[in-house]
Amino acid sequence: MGQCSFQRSLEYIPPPLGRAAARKRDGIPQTIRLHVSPSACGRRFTINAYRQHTKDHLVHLYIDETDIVSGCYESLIPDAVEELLDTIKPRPRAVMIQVTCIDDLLGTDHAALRALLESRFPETRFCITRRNPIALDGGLPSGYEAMRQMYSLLTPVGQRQDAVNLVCDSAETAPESELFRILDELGLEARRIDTCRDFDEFLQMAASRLNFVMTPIGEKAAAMMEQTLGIPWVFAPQSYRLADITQAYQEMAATLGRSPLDLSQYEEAARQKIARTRERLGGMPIIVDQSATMRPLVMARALTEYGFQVKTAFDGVVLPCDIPALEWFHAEHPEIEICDGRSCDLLKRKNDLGECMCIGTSTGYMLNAPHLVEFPEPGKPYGFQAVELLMDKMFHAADAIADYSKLHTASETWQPVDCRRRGCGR
Amino acid sequence: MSQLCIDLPPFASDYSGACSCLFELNGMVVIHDARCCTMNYTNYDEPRWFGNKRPIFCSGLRELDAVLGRDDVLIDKITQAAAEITPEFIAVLGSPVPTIVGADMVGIAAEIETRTGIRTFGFSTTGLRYYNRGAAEVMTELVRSYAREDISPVADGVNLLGLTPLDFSDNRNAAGLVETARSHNFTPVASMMMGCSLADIASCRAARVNWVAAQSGMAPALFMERNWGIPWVAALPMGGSGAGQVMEALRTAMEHGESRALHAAGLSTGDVLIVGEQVQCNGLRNALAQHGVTGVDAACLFGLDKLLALPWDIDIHKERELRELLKTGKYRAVIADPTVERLLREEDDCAFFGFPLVAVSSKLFWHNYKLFQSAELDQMLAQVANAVSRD
Repeated sequence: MGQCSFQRSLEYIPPPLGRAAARKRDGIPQTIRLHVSPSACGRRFTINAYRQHTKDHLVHLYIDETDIVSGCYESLIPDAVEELLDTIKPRPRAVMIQVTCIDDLLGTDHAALRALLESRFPETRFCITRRNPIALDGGLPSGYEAMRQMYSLLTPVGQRQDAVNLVCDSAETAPESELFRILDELGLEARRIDTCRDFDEFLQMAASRLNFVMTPIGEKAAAMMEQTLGIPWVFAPQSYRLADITQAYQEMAATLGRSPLDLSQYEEAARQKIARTRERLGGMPIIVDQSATMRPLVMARALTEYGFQVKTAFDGVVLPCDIPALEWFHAEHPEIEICDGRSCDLLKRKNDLGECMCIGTSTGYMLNAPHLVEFPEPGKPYGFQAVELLMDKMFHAADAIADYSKLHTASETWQPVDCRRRGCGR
Repeated sequence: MSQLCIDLPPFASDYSGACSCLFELNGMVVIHDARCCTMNYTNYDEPRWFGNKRPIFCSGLRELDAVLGRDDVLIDKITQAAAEITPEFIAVLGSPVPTIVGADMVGIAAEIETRTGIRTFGFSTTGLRYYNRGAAEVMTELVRSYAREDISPVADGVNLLGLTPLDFSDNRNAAGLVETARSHNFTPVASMMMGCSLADIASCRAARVNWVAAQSGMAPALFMERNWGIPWVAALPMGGSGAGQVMEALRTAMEHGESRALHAAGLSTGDVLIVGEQVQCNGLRNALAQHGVTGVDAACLFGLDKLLALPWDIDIHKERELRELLKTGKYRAVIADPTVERLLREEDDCAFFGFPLVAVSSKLFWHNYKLFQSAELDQMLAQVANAVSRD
């Protein structure tokens, strides 16, 4: 019988086998992220920033035992901000302060800290975000609040403009997505944080007509912007169910006061690919895991509904928007195993499905699955295009035997790291 | 390092050093943290993680557990996992949050050992210190716990201390040292901690000299000297011809019982700066002396051990200190991890030679790690000599 019992256990972390593309920036332009933590806490963010050529936008303020125990931790931050504003040229327009698990225990008054910083550095904007997996059991993942904080830098500006904000994470949305054609047909400009050329362009996002929320963690940010900026929003995180995608686009049109969209060509193209792939895979068992998508249960549900033989879905933290999928599995397909993708049980798990396909590198590696769908791409697919891409990848993976060593080598290959001289006052 | 750090990456932490030492042994290791610290180690500090499915886990610490002191949650999880994995030992490591709330890793370990009957170590790593401290703590504890008293000395027995991929990467550097010892008629007893088993550690008292190959190896070396009178030599052969002097120093220590850090003759402060791990800095400095360069400063990033240092060596605590040191204009050549070059200015008349260190730059260069005992490294050192000899 299938089950969902994410009983608390030790956690195992498989090696990352995904490839990361270089990004021109990580976050809002002309902004510096100041990571405040014990030194090692920021190690992975910095190494990733080097890999993705975004290191120039990330700075660390290390705190040690003395700082934490003496309580002078909070007072270090304004002086550090002054030093970095004096050092980094050109001077950043905003500073995003990022704190970690330690801060949860120290009880920092973030509102007071932000007020202090804004009064001491009136030309600079500030927000404070958390990276605190320690708080996972208490509520939402920290990404929700982090995104809300980022958009809190926006203030009301002038008249509404014919633009839609794409509220999504920092990976670039694949330009092949039909989303851009649809917006183009509606005469709307697509605005994203990471395509803004400068801070002023980012501030113009406050004048957009709609927030199209493409990631679950954008929900709080959108709700806040509705209150503070009067921008309505549509919750449209990537789903692999065609009905969900259609509904999201139609809701967007309706919210903007437009006629219903004709999406039949996209739906039909996706259905054809689904049918072709289903025929090719036959009864091949499928496993979905959270390294493929933030919403593995939703992906697994879609594939099950399309007639694929999903046997197991691994998830880590089940997001609120994915609970209906979880309940659907319990009610309709209790034979499909829903497992905790973080659990140490992964280490001893054997592949008893034989000739199976894993969508997601983590479980594929752990089970040494013969067929692997490496998903998503470094550029993020969205909408019907994402469904088609998934089907294409599954179709081709059925004929290919996964080479995990080669995947590992590719995942550790990147453009030469930028260690050019900068010195003080770069 | 403390305070503001603009260009350099955060260095590997003490829990990474500890895990790196425990990696090859048949034990279960648990880092008591929410996930990020463990991820730092597995995905950024352990070149061997891919392809080796070791039972090294995160405890999945949550806020309420930390605040309420719910150590029983951790103990229950470990006990349950140990029943299925049946490791030879268990190790529980701390991280910043358990440190702040005063979690007693030794006490937790004792409770786990009582419940499971499996030898359990509690290491008070904090995530607030560097990797060499964690590695040192683990090696010393393993020696203390496993070394057998009833063992006969091996005539030319040598232990190698301080071998971890954080200093040596996972290329042939560590194995090369073992081969060097063998080829010079030494018998490696325990090569701690790469290519080493608990049985080897149990025999470590049979060695007649300890070869300290990294700063982290000093603590177990001093322990063995204090308790069993085994002398040590801290040295690292660099380039194609450095091994002879190191082997001679080991032989002398073995015969006369005198411990020391190996330094070439005629060294002084000068216009070459080597930045990094202290024993590696000394090794490069000694190798440069063979190229006629004797004016060399060492700037140590992970704490300055006076037993290994020359009087003019520099203890770097902050990025700003290193930046200011480089701005003095004193140095015409710098050897350091490639990320250090970011601290130089365009106008600095200073040749830079990249010498990656996993503990600094993680995976960024670990596939391009220098082979310490190689002609390629000799070429780099010759280029350093050229850079400082030009008018």
